[in-house]
Amino acid sequence: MGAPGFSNDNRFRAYPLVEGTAGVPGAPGVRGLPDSALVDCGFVAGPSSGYDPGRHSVRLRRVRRAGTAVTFEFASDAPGLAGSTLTFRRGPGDPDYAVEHADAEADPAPAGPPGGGPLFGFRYSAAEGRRSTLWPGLGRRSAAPAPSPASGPGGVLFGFGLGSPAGRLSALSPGFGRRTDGGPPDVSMSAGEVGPCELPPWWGFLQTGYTAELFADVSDGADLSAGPGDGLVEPALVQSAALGYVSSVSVANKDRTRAGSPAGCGPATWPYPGVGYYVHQRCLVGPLRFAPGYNLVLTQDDSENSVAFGARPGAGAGYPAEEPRVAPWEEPGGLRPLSGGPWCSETVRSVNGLAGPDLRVSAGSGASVTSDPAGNRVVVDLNLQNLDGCLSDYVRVSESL
Amino acid sequence: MNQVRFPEFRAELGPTGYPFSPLATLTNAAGDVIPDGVFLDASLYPVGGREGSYLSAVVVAADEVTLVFGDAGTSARASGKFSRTDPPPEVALYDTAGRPAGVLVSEPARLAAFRGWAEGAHKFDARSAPLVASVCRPVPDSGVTGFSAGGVAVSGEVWLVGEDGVVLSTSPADDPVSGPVTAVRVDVAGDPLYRRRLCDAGDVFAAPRFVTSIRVVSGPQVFYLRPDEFGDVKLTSHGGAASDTVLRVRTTQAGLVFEAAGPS
Repeated sequence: MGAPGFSNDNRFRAYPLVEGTAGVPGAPGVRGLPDSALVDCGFVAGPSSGYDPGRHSVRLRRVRRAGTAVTFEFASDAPGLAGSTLTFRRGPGDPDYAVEHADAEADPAPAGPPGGGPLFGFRYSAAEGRRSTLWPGLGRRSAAPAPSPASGPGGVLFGFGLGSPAGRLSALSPGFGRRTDGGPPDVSMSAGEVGPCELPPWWGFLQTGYTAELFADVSDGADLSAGPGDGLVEPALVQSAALGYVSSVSVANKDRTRAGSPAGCGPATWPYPGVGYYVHQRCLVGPLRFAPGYNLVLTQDDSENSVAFGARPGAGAGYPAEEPRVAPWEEPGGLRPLSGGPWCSETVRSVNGLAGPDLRVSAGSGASVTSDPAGNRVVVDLNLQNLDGCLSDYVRVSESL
Repeated sequence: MNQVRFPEFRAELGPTGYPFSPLATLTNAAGDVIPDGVFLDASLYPVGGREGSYLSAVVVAADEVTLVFGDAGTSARASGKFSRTDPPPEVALYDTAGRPAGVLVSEPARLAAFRGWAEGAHKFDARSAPLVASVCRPVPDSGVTGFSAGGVAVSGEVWLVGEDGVVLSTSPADDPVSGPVTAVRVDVAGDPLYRRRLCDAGDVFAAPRFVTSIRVVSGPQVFYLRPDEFGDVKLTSHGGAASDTVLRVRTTQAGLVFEAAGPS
């Protein structure tokens, strides 16, 4: 007699689940699920999952039967897989040892620049001069806890400071990931309106045992849940692609600093609501190229596999011919700059070269200067007082400013 | 003798050399012996890994043990650490970039076998400690695996964000090699109002009321002085109305002085 096959062997033991976490006769929930139900499975946690094989696990969270459908739900405690389940279904007509591959549903929680997790952003610091800046801060899902760098980020923001050699990137264009629809930029008014890119957070397969046996063991209406530590999948059956590759690149801009309204004046308004970030384009895949815009020095070092970004007036595309828009549809409020307020040439910054903020106006011989705050006036009166003169009637020349 | 016909997975593999190859000697030139059954299961999937995975070194320190795995490309493709005195049931493996690269399944009692090894690096080669092929699933290292600015690499769904005077945009472009590509343009326009951002409490910064013009009233005449391209306004005493005017407008360190010329 030939030796039973691997799948058949697994009908009589807990594998692919860890012994003691399932297949325990008489135990409640998933732990009591018969050994024969599952014979094999395997999972891949995607690059944004944050799955750390030393700290996270996958487990069979729930088994249900409703009529002629038995559903197996798997879940993981990896930060990027929070709220995501991998679901497999069996019907009475499925063959014995049926194998099903499935992708998990993406987390419906909005993704976008704000959130928790590592963030890298492009930044130019006029106050700090040329300096590379790199800071942690934002991530993919606001609902998920911020993943630590060791566990891998879940959809992280990246950019780089301008100037110093420390502000370098490694690697250039992304190559993995599913294609976008190739449509126009997905511009969003709010980061909360965007969702994750097409790559599922994780995927896998499940092989069940004898179908008739399964439907006999799981009665109609059964709803088996896993308690703590129940339904654990053998660790070697989970492969983590966390940090493995860049699946997509999305581009966004933080809102510009906007002018406020002085006290006593009406509020500053724009034809659109201000939000934290403007998403320019989501889920870019395929080859990417960085193009130097205004004042940008862009250098590539193939030996270091790096791209360096620096700022220098007039570099790249030269001095700005127009204000770059943080979103394609950005328009100024009225005739003002995009940031609001007057242009530099629209304000009196100096008189005869004397700068403010307060300009002192005084009178010398033969003149007087008085202020009229209520009338918002400064009156300069050329009254020739204190001057020698042969005039019987002095001439007064008065200018009001 | 009674024999369990279908032993549990780990129990079945325990007495075997798995996940090492049946051809593994599990000994090195120094006489170190990897105990049978020290590992129950394994899965290696390093990015850029090659064929021929093997245990290349067991590095024993005072309080921890490091297991290093190599392949045909390098002797240090992935590694994992565990406490020498309190071993865990599993050991996670990471590659040199800190990315997950696999897991070893064992038991604390089995890993405790390394407790008695002398401190130092105990090296093995591809013939003495090779792994079976089925536990090795290297991931191709193609495309961009991550962005790094000197620290931890970021991957997955990566966001590029412009802020504080840097603006990003995208447009289609043509590359002579790749063909159609997407270009990410980086503009450094500066943030003209950055000082307001520094006063981030909102009410700390008070928006100033700028002088945008000077209205001059001279009897019935009214005219406006507006700044030039540099924001400067010129007030002078010269004019066609009176070439012999005694009006003088002087610029001093103390400010602007209006006066009449003449003895006093």
